[in-house]
Amino acid sequence: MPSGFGDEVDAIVRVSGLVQGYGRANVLAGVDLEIGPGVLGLLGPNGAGKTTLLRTLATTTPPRSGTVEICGTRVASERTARKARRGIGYLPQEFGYLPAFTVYDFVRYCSWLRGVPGRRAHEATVNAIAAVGLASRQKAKMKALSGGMLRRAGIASAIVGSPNLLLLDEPTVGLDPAQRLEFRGLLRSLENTAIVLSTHLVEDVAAICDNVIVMSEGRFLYYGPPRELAGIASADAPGDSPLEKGYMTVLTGNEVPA
Amino acid sequence: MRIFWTEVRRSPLRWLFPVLVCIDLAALFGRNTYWIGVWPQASAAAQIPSLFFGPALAASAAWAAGRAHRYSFAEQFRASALPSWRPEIALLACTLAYGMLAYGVGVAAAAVVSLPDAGPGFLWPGYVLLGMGNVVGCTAVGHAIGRWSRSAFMAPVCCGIGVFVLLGLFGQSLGLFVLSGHPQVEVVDSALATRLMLAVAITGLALLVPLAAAKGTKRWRSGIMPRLAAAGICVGLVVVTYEIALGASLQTERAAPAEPLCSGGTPRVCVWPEDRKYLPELEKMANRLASLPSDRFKVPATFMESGLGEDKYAGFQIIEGSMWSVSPNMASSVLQETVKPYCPAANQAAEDRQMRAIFELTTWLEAWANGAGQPASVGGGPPGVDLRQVGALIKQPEATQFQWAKQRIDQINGTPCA
Repeated sequence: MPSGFGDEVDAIVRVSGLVQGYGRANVLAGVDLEIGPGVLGLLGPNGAGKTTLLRTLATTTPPRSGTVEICGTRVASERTARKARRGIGYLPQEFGYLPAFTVYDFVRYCSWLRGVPGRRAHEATVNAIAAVGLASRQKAKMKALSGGMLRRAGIASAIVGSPNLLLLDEPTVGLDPAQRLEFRGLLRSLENTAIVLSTHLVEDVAAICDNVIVMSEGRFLYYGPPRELAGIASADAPGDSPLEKGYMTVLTGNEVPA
Repeated sequence: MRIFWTEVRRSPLRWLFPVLVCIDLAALFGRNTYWIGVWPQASAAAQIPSLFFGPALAASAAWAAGRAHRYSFAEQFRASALPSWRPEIALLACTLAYGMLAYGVGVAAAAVVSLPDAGPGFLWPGYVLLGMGNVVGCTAVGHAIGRWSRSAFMAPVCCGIGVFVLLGLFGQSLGLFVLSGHPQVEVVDSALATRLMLAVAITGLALLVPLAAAKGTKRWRSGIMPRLAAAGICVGLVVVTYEIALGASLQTERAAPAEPLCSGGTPRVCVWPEDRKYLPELEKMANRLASLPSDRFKVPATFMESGLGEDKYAGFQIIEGSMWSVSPNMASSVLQETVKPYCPAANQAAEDRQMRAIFELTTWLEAWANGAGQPASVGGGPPGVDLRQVGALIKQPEATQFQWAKQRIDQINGTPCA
C-alpha cells in the first residue's frame, strides 16, 4: 500500500480497495492509499483518474466500492461525509466563484460552507487571504480580479480554516512564475497538513512534493519520492528534465530496474 | 446571519429591487384608486400587486439560484460540510427579503394614502398575509427551478412566464388572490392558513432541489431525517393542494356591526363603518332623492348598505367605489315606496308597458340621485330604456321631468293586476 509517511498513526487519509467510475466505466480500479502530512503530487495523462481520485477524497462522489477514511472518520453516508468535509480544503479543477462577492466575502462564504465556526471565521479568512498575497485586494470584487488573482482567491478558499487535508486540482493554472514560486512557498508553510496536488507541471512536483504518484488508466504506476522517479528514468525517454524523463519512463513501462 | 447579510449585499436582486417596487406601485395605483380610504379594500388592493411582481420575482429568484451552475460553483456546494439546505436557505431568504421589501413598500403606500380618509381599523392582515403567501410561493418556485435547471437564461424566462400564466389561469379560482375586499366579507382563517402552508411546502421543496439537481451524480446515502423531511414535504404539498382545490372558499360573509355608521339627516344612510369615506356622497344622493316632490314620490326613511339589515342581501352595494353602482338600489327603494306593489299585469301588452315604465323611472331616479349625470350604461341599461333619452330628460327643467315621471307613476299604478 502506497504510504506518504513513515508512521501509520499519522495517517490523515486511508483508502482501501477504492473503485470509482462513471457510467459503465471504472476510472479507479482498486486503489489503496494512505496519506499523511506533506505534499503528495498526482501526475498522469488526461483521463488517468486524478480528478476522480480528488473528488472521491473530497467526498463529493461516493465510491462504487472500497473504503475511504478521512481524519479518522470512515465516510459511508452523507452525515459522515459532512463530518469529514470539515477537515477538507478543496480547490476543484473547474474552480467556480461568485463574481459579485468581494474576495473577503467569498473566502468567508467558503469558510462557512466548510463549517468553520463563526467566532474563528473572520481571523481564518483574513489569514487565508494574507497567505495568498491578496490582503490588499480583499475588498475587491471577484469579477475584478485577474486570472492569477482568481486562482489565488480560490486557493485561499481552500486553505481557510487550516484544513487537515488539502486537495488541489491544477491549482497553478493561470499563475505567473513568480506567483507559482509564492504558491510553492505557501504549500511548504502548511505544516501538519496532508496536501494532494494534481498537476501537469512536473517542475511543481519536483519543487514541493514529498512523494509523487504517477497514474494511468485508474492505476498507480509509481509511488515514491520525486528524486527516485527521476532516478529510474531511461536514457532514451522523452523529456527535458530527469523527472520528466522518469515520468515518461513509468508511463511507457520502460523503467530501469532499481 | 452574517452570511444572510452577505447574500443581501451581493444579491443580483439589489439591482432588480427598484424594478420590483415599480411593478408593485404601478399595479397598485395603475388599476384603480377607489380602494383608497377603505381599509379592507386597501388591504385587498395592496395584495394584488403580488400577482404582477410575483412572476418577476420568480424569474429573479431563478436567476439568483442559477449561480451554482452559471458560475460553476456546484462542486463547491457538493463539497460543503453543511447540510445542502443551509446554503439554499440563506440565498432563498435573501431573495425573499427583497421580495417582501418590495411588497412591503406597496403595502405601506396603500396604508399611507388611505390613512387620511379611512374609517376605523387598519390594514386587514388576512389580505396582506395572502399577498405574502404569494410572494413566498413565487420566490420558492423561482428558486427551485433556477437551482434545478442548468440553463442560465431559460430558467428565469420560463419561470416568469409560467408563474404568470398559472396564476392567471388558476389563481382566482383557487383563491390564491382576491380582486376586491368589500367590508361585507373577510378572509377565512383556515383557508388562509392552507394557502400559507402551500407557500411553506413549496419553500421546503425548493430547499430539497439540490438533491434532485444532482441527478446523474452519485450521492452518499442520506440519513433517515432528510428522507423523512422530503417525504413529509411532498405529502404536505399534495394534502394542502387538495384542500385548496376542494376546500372552503377564501372569503366569507362577516357579521354585521352592532352599530353601523349612519348619517344624521333624513333620510338616513347607513354603511359599514369601513365605508365611511362614501357616506358624504351617499348622503347627498339620499338628499337629492328626498328633494323630489313629496306628493308624488315617497322616500324610505333609511338607505342601508347590504349586509347590515336583517336581510343580508337587501340594500345597496358599493362596487369599486362607484356611486352609480349604489343608485339602482336607492332608486328601486324609492320606487317601491312610491308605486303600488308589483303584480303581473292582466295581459302582455300591459305588462310590457308597466315594465318599461318601471325601468324608465328607475333609470331617471338613478340619474337624479347622482346629480343629473349621464345615466350609467352598464350592459346597455335596463331593457327597453333609451339611455340617451333619459340623459336628455335629466337636463330639462324640473317641472318637465316631474311631469314625465308622473306619467310613468300613473302608468304603473293604473295597470290592473292579472
